[in-house]
Amino acid sequence: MRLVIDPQSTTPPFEQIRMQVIDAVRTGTLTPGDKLPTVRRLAEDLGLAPNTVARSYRALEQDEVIETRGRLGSFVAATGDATQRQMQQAAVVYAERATSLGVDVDEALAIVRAALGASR
Amino acid sequence: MDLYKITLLVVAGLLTVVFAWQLRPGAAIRPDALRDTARRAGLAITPEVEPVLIARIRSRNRGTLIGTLIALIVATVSLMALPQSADGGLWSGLMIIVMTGLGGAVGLCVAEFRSALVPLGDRPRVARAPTPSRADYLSTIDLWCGPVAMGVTGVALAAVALVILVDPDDVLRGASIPSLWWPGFMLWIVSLAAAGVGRILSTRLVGRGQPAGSDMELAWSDALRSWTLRALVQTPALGALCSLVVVLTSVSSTVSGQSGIGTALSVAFSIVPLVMGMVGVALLSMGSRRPPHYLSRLWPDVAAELRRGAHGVVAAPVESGRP
Repeated sequence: MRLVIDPQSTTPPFEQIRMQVIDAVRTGTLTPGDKLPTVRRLAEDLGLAPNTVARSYRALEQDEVIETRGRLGSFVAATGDATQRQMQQAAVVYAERATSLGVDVDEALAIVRAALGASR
Repeated sequence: MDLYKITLLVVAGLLTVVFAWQLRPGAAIRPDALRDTARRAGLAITPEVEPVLIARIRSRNRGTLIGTLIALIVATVSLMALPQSADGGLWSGLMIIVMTGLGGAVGLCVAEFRSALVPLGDRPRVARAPTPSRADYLSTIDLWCGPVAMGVTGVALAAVALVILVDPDDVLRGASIPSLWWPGFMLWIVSLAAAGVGRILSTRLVGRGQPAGSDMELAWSDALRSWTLRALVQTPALGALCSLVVVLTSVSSTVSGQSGIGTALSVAFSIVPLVMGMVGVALLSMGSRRPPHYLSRLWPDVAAELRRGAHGVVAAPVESGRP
């Protein structure tokens, strides 16, 4: 896969990396078990500080998109589609909250649609 | 000072002058040399990439020449200090070729290290995952030519040592036995050291970053890197084969004109270098008909375009190579 970083973009570089890796995993360009470049190597390739790449990798690890296997490096997580799993977990939390507040299904869905529309 | 040492000094002096002349500042890169480079790489030279490429080629040429010059001086001083071998000047010549080859490869590697991390300013940057490995830059032949040549020549040198020690039919009577074998063995040891140095440098080079603003720049960076790695792995192989040629030539010249096993050894030892040369030419011609290995591995779309087009046509990477 290609990672393209635009230094003049308003999106910070660590977020650009994170989003592109998630996108590559979702589209199957990166498959479970694929090895990612080391932090140092990717930082050299992209002309970024190692801390920026490390921050991006940490966020991807928290999202369970990638996993770090000690000194072997970082790999695409082999536990299915991490993005979908995260979305399902968020949906469960949202549904529980809507139920506890007495919001009906149609209204809850309308709120989600409005939020999605506002964020795009 | 004998004639051998005077000849050695004159040859080394002439080579130094030639290399130093090429090192002069402002030495231009000829347009036909640039075209040859593009044909070898299988890549087009776009206006965007041309200035960066010229700067890198210049830096590589400089690195190679400085490495070659240093190695030439070291080789000359070493040869002056060592006694002359039984084969006359052959060993000295091959030792200079192998050591300057190693020096040139190391110089090239240093230049590649230094030019690998050029600042890109505010331009977009391209990287790829997964990171390429040595096998992406070196074909199977390149990867194994060094170890195989070292192994085969090591066994052959041991076998020749056995023949010299057993000395069937007393054909080597009167010859200085150690002087028949040690020059070749020393060349083999130099090749072994070159293989070790080459392995360490190539591993570090592959791990080095490749800042690039576009796929085209990245593809050119891959081309230059693959040539550097090939220089590092081919020098020990060449040295190992030269070591065997030196020993076989020494023994062959000693036993020539002798009857019985002497004739057989002389003929056999004369044929071996010839066969080795033919195998080398066959391998080189086989490799030159295909798109470069690094293109097939890292830029399969470009390699496919090259295969479809006429031989020697250069191509440019489009949006993506390997997914």
